[in-house]
Amino acid sequence: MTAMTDVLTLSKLTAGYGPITVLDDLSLTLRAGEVVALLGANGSGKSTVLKTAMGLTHVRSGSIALGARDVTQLPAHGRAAAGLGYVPQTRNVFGDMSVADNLRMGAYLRPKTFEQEVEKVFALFPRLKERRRALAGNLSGGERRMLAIGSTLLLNPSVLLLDEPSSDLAPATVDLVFEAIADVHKRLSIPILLVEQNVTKALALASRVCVLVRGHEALDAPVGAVDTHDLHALFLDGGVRTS
Amino acid sequence: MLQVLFNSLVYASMIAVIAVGVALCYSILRFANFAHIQFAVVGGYLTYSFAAIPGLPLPAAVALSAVATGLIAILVDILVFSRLRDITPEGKMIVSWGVALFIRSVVAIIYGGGGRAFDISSEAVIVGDAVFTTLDALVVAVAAVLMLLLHLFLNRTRIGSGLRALASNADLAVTRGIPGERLIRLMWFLSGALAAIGGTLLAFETRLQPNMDLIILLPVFAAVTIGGLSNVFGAVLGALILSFAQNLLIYVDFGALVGGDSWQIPTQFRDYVAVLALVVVLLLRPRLSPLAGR
Repeated sequence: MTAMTDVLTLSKLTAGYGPITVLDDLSLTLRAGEVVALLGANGSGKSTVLKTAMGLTHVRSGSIALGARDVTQLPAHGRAAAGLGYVPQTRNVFGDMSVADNLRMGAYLRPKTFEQEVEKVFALFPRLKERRRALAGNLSGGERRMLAIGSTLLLNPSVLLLDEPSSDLAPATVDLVFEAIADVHKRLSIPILLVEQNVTKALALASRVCVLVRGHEALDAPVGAVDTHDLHALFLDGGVRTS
Repeated sequence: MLQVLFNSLVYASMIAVIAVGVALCYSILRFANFAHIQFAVVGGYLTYSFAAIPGLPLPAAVALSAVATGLIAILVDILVFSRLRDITPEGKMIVSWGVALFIRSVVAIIYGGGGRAFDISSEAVIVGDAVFTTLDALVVAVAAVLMLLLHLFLNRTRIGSGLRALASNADLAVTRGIPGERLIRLMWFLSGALAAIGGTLLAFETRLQPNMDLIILLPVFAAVTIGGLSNVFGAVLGALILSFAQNLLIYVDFGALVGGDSWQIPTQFRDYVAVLALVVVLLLRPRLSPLAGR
């Protein structure tokens, strides 16, 4: 046993949507203080890993543990209460509700401390304070991403699941969002499972990298030990280069 | 003209209180619930039964009926719709017709086919050239208070906002820790209770009769459709627009308008306004069809 404790453990998961199986016997562990970058080609099942951890897919076999607690049978809202914070890639805000109401929904389980806690989110994303009366659906892509992350932080999660925080954003905004994520990670030392297409950004933040190929884990290594060429080979061929 | 306004307001009040439940259900579960109309009928009859209990004042009978109908609505969800969460909206809509027919039959078995009237004392009040009754005033006041309370609940309370979040994006709402299934049950309760009060007001103004479901079906669904189906307060606006259009149409003397003999559209054509409104809305915005899922 290492000194690091496992905060999120996915064991031998086979899961998908309805009759479709996406994850095939997948095991993955996130330890305290870590940022794990989950990489893979389109359709490799990265987003499904996060959705399955959150309880939004149909699990056929395997188990999910948050710390020492088995949450496999828990519905999504129970997992949120148990400490899982999830930021989806798309449809990650309530578009027809105001920014303030979106944030309030992030604190649904902790309404009493909302006023203090929301100030921390405003400190992280000052733009949200200016826009708090706006409808979330009228926000720019970057503002929307900030709101999605900010709302999730209000849950006071013990683990953060981020699905492609850089997608569809202008490069300057990507930098801003990643700085905020790094800041959150550093200050709250919250472990993060990060799905990302922007490999450079992901590796700059992550301590470990996992590569998914067709719903199965093909590589799990510390960031320092992987070669970007190997990663690309995995993306393209779906197999580890032997040379 | 003032009379048209009064009549429209009274009619719209009753329709709106029933229609918001259809919109609530559509906004969260994404199907047109035709069984909802029966909650209004059940509520009317239950108020009648509770009011027959010696010593129980009428407002208490209405409250009891609202709670009982709310619980019946929850029971309908537990027995039927909670098992069908994953089927298509069209499928749920068809099932809701089945549930409606079932409830209709149960009401007919228990209460029989005859009409019943509430004995409500009401006085006429004359304002200018128009007449309204104290009962009319009560109906409008009750509806206005209910709509205000519903508005405050949905927009100013945590659980109400949770319902809006669930309607906006159910997958996201549950990841925020909002207990989806529990709030869906709450939605059924609220819809059922409101429908019961709406049905009771309608019974006060007219009478209880086995086919009152068919009388309100069209205006309720027309109001909800005009209002945008999943928009709770759109349904209120829809009820007002529809009701005003209906009353205006039978009020206007078309004969005199073209300079001939007095000729008005017969009262029974009022319902065709609802049909016409539905047709116009669906032609302009076919996406709003209650028959189309989202």
